[in-house]
Amino acid sequence: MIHNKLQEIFRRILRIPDLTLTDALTADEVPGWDSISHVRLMVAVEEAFKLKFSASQLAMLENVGDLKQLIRSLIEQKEQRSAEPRR
Amino acid sequence: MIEFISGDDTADLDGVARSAVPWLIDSGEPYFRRLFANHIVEEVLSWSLRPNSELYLGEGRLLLDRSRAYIGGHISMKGALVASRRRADAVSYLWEHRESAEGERRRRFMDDTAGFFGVVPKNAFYLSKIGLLPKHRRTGLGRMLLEDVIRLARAASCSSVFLHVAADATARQFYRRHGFEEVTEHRNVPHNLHYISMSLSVVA
Repeated sequence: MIHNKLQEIFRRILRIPDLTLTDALTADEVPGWDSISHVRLMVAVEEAFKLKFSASQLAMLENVGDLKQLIRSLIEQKEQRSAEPRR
Repeated sequence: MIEFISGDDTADLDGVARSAVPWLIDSGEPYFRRLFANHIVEEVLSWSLRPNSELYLGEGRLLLDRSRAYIGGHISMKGALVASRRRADAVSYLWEHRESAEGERRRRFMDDTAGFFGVVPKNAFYLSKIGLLPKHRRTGLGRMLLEDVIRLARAASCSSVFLHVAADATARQFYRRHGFEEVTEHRNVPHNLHYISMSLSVVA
């Protein structure tokens, strides 16, 4: 489940063991979620989900819901690519 | 005739940004020369082309002379937007090169510059950058630029225009002449910053 995996990453990186993620949650609302933490979070998400984010994809994220959506769509793209027959 | 165009109405934002560099790096605000020193041109250019940057020219206003050459402009926005744009700038800056030694250097740099930027009142209209190419300065066009900022501030239902200016910038006199009041003097000793907040009421 993307949500639970993401929540575990946020709790660990931001050091807030009881942090509850909601789709509407933004950096403004969470102490310690500054730009350096944000980069650490995104690196951890990349590693956990085996994805790669571009700077412009990150720039479009406004809240946790957007991040989940991005993860979902990148996972789908990966699955589609690996399902394509080799030429 | 001399007229304004919005950044996102230009056909070649890349070319426009390059031509804007002389006034973008010279506009009297206290931050970017301090932050980027020798790299100021390349950083300002890259930020001016990035859509969620504080310096994004696509959301700026550009001044054209009679021959349709770009001679100056301003980048301004509702105060409430500044914090998120600055955070986006910081994230972009850190994301590039994040896996290399340069990335580590940038993370240390961000740590060292925490608390660098001054606070912007959310309900003011923030003037981030304003300027003219050198040969068009002192020709009365500065007033035209400010009038455009004021018009946009009123359209955004803001009651004031707010800015930060380096204490030793010549722009400080220019703002005073056009009615800006000095609100606070800031000395940020760890970052060697000395700047003034200025505000202009634009209630009609």
